[in-house]
Amino acid sequence: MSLLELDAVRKQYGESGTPTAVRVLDGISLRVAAGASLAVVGPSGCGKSTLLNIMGGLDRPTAGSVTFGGRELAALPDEALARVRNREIGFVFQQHHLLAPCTVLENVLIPTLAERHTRAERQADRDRAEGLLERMGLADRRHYRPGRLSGGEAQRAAVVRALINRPRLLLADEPTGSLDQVTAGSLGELLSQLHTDDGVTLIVVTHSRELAERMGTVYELANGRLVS
Amino acid sequence: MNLRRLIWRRLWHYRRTNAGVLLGAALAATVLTGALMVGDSVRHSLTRLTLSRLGKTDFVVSAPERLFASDLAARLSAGAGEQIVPVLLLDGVVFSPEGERRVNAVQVVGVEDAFWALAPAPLASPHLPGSACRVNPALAARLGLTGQGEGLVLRLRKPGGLPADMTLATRDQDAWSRRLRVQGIQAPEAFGHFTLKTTQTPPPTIFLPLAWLSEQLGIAGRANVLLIQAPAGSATVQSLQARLDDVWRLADAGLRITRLEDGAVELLSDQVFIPPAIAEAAFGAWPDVRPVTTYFLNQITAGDRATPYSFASAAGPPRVPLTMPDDEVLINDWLAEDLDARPGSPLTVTYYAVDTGGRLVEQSADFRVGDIVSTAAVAAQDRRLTPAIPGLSDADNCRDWDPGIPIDLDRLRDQDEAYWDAYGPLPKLYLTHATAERLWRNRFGVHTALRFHGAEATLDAVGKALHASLSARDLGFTVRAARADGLAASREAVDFGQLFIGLSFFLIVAAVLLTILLFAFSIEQRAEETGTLRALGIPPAVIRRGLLAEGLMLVVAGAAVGSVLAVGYNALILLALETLWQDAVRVAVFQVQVRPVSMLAGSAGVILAALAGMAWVIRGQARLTVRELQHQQPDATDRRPGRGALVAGGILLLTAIVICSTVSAGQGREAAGAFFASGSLLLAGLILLAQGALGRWRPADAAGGAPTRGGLVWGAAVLRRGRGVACMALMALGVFLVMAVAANRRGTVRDPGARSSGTGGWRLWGQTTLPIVHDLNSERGRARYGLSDPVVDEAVFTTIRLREGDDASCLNLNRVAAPHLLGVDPAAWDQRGAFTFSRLGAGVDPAHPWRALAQAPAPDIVPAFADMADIVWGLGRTLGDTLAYTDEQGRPFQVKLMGGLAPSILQGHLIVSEAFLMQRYPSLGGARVLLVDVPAAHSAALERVLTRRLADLGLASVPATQRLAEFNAVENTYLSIFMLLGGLGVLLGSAGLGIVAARNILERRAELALLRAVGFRRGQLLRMLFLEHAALALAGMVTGVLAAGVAVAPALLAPETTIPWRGLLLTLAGVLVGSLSWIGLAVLAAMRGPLLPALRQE
Repeated sequence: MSLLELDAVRKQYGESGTPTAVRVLDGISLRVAAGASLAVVGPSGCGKSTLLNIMGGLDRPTAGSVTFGGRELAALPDEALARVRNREIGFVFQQHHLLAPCTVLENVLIPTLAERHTRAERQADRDRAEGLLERMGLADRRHYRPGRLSGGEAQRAAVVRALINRPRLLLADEPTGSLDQVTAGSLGELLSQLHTDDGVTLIVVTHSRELAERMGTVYELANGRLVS
Repeated sequence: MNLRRLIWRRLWHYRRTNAGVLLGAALAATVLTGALMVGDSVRHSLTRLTLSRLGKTDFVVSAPERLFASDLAARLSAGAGEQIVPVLLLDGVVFSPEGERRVNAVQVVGVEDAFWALAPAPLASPHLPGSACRVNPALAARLGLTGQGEGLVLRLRKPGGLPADMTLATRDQDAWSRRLRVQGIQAPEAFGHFTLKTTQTPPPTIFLPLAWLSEQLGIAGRANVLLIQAPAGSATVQSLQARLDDVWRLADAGLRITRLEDGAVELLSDQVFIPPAIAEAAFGAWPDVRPVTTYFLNQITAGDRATPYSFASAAGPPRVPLTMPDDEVLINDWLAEDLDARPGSPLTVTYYAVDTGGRLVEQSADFRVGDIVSTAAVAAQDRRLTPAIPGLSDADNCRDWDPGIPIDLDRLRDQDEAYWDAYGPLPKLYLTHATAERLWRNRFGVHTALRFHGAEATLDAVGKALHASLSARDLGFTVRAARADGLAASREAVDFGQLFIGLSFFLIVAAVLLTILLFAFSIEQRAEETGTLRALGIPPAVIRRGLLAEGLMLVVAGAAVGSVLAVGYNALILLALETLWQDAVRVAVFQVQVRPVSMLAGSAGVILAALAGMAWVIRGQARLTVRELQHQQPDATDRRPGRGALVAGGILLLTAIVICSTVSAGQGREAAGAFFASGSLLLAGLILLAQGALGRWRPADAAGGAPTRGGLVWGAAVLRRGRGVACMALMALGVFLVMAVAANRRGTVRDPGARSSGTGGWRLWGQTTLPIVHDLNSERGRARYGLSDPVVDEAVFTTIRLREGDDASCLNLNRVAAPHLLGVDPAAWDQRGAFTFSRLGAGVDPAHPWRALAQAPAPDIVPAFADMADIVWGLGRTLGDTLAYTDEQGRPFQVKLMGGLAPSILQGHLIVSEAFLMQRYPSLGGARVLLVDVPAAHSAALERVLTRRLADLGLASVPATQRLAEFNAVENTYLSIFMLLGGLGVLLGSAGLGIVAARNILERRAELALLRAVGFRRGQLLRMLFLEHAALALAGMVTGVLAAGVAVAPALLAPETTIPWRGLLLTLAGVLVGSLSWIGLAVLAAMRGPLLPALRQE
């Protein structure tokens, strides 16, 4: 059974028939089984991020359908889509996008704000966040503000934030794009480890051949189509 | 982690921006709450003044133009719990002992010791021995009195005499003056502010012992006002009126009954003529009432013989048979002999009558002698046909006559003196009642006596019958709930809260907009955060709620700070009203009043307005995608917006041009409205065109696609055109409002002689304390006042009767119920074309508006005009509304507002027809208001002469232009306040431009860094950025100036408009300098630090 299915997904910017109309995705169909890991590579501007955003319900396709866990994402209202993203999908962006006003621990716990939690649940969330931070080697940074973290630390914190709600699918958009080679390698290893240890389904969009090769399947996006 | 914590984190993290939001809200709340507090403070102060002027007085009983026995107070209070105090309330003129200082319109109060117990804070009750007086601080200040023992001279008109306009009334002899010693100055809390008039300005007042004053005036034991203090809920106007009906006596109404030799009972009036209402009631009260009318004749002639100065009487049967024809008269044998007349002889009588203007007019009537009666027989039977007429009937010798009409004593012959010695004022001629009514009916009545005949006609029975058929109201007694009315007047006074909200509206709007703008930038600043939260699946509603909660906390905190600051702002405004803006209120009596409800209302207003704006901003951001939010820029689009704005702007512009071209600027009020509308359309049109142009036109197109520096600037403006146009529109609107308001400022009249102007063409305005009873346009009248100076010959006087009420002008802050009434001659004023009307009611002929005053719409309705500003602000009414008055006979009537005058010297008064005024208030003797036509060159000299010669009447005269300027000063002061507060608002709005500039630059730091990297110098970039935003400010100002120029074109051409160019240019210059400074500061601040790192971050 597929966790994520894309069927003839197309995405176009600009109005059809105008000179500036750009078709970014051109009929992409894809099935991602639960527990799989895959990478999408391709040159800049080929639509990798757009594809990832569509997979995660952050963007809607111009045509075609995206089914996640048996639900057609395009048919879901905003609030329901937000709930799906919150409970079942984790995002890691090229920039860490940590909230500057909050500490690392608070940032990690941000996704738990989506629903009301009991005191016990809140404590459980906190314990899990601290556990994950420790696992990522960030235990001693948990009360730091993002501004005091290195790029690698911030990105690891972003990964922890993506995992806090135990997502079934982890989407990473150029997660190592803003990191130096050593830090990027370390983060790639961490993501692989998460996939292997926790069985989380992982889709990575990257330029990095090294990171892509850590994934089970690698697709190349070219001319709006995926090539295995 | 929870939402609350996240909010706190963000509040602290973005504290600088948040501080701006908070300060904006605080400023708006300060101004709004402060304005409401000004309203509270003014209302509170007026209420305090009302209580201070009335003390413990709850009700007032008065009888206009009438004196009653002061023991009416005791009769009325008998058995009841009220404290009732009689007072003699008069108007007078006070001079310093050497006459170098004069105070007009002084309130003279004759009091008993009990009066002081009604004071707000009765201190030790001052006992006033005879000829000692106390003065209030207002009089002391104007006379320069400092305390005890100083002297003054009081001059007033003796009350209780015959009305000055009555044919036989003595016009001068009732003036009274005395030198008095000042015992002390009465403190404000001890009735130093006492007055029954609805005003915030205590009149100069002198207190005298009632017993001494009434005795000195020859009216011992009489008063004209009762002050009543009633225990709470124990009395009402109706209950007091009912008790008054029980306890009044004939003497209270100036009536007396006596028994005649033939057994009949005779009713006489102190006023000579029995008032019509009383006569009517008397006829209904008794089965056999026979009237008598006796009148003074100047001359009776028959052929070539003439008898001077005699009385004629319509005595009724048996003296005059009912069957006698109306053209016949009976004469006594003395007259028959004197005129050599016999039955059938024709004879002519001449006599004085009074026209509506109070002028004596000699008239005549022809008769035929019907029969001759015996003088001795009449004298034996009825010597009391002639009423008591001061100066005439009471003279021992006819050479001692001093009546109120011009008589030539040299014409009296020996036989006339002999007749007087033998028979006194016994009539020589008898005529029918019908004839007497036709010749001598006047506004005071026609009967000089009523005789009650019949077996039951005893003094007691007639008295009871009259008492039963007359109410106190018929006699002119009115009961007024003075305290309730006064408090209502202060409560419903001009709402300074609303006024100041209006005056500072633009400042409030600017502050709220600034708050919203800062919040919007704060929201934009954290768009990435919002995008991340959205990406992480935080429901949009939760995100919105969080942002709104942040905004709410900031504006609530700001409003709380503002509410506290508002107390100081309020105090500052009140201080300014008492000093800098003193012309608006002319008093210094305000006390700060802080009402929690106003603080809450002001805060709530700001919170709601700011929250609505914030919700709108948040909602706008909610439309962006996660990607747009995280990248903080909209997705690319090739749409060229602005076509709709260009079309709409073009339509508005065309409409404005069409309106302007079809209306001439000189066409009055309609033109003013049309031009204001076209100015507003022009404003909106230009703003839309600017928005459209930013969206459509690209300099790069004009340059063939090659980039230019201008194109870079323009491109930046296009990308953020919403912000730019909003700031430009704010500037334009502010400048438009400030200029439009400034153009309404009224200056000196360009042509004071123009009858259509606010002076009515008159050069001088004068008002006397004591009435002018002689015709100032006649030689004789001028001689009576010693106006022999040549300059007086150049003058034409218009004298106007004044029925005292309350001042309805903008100088009185209270809501007035019954303003002063001025009685004018509608035909004369129509012919003159006096003044200009701002608005006319239905049915008023615009070509001859004054004629409307002569036509009563219904029997009990008197048409009136007033200044439009008085109608709206002073009375809180509109055209067509009516005001309730009570006439001298206690009959209610309505005064209907039929037209509103443009600002004029008549402010504060209702103008009615003199005929209607005299019909309602027949006892109003003489005129109190004086308007003078005189060549401009002689105006000042005449004013000096009049002030000197009419000093005893308490004349206060000013050039009409000055009076108008004083009224205009009120309006102009409010306009100045608006200009100041509006200017501050524009300045604050221009701060928004600075914020926009800073924000734009911060967002474009990478772009600017690139320009630096490719070789642009820092100075070039600074200049480019400054010009980009300065252009917006200038465009806003030019748009506002252009639109305002069109809107106020009619005002620029109006005769009484003086544009305060200096103030206006200073304001505009201040706004321009302020805007450019804000922009400069913002550019410098935003460009601080090296730019190239921004490029690396990108």
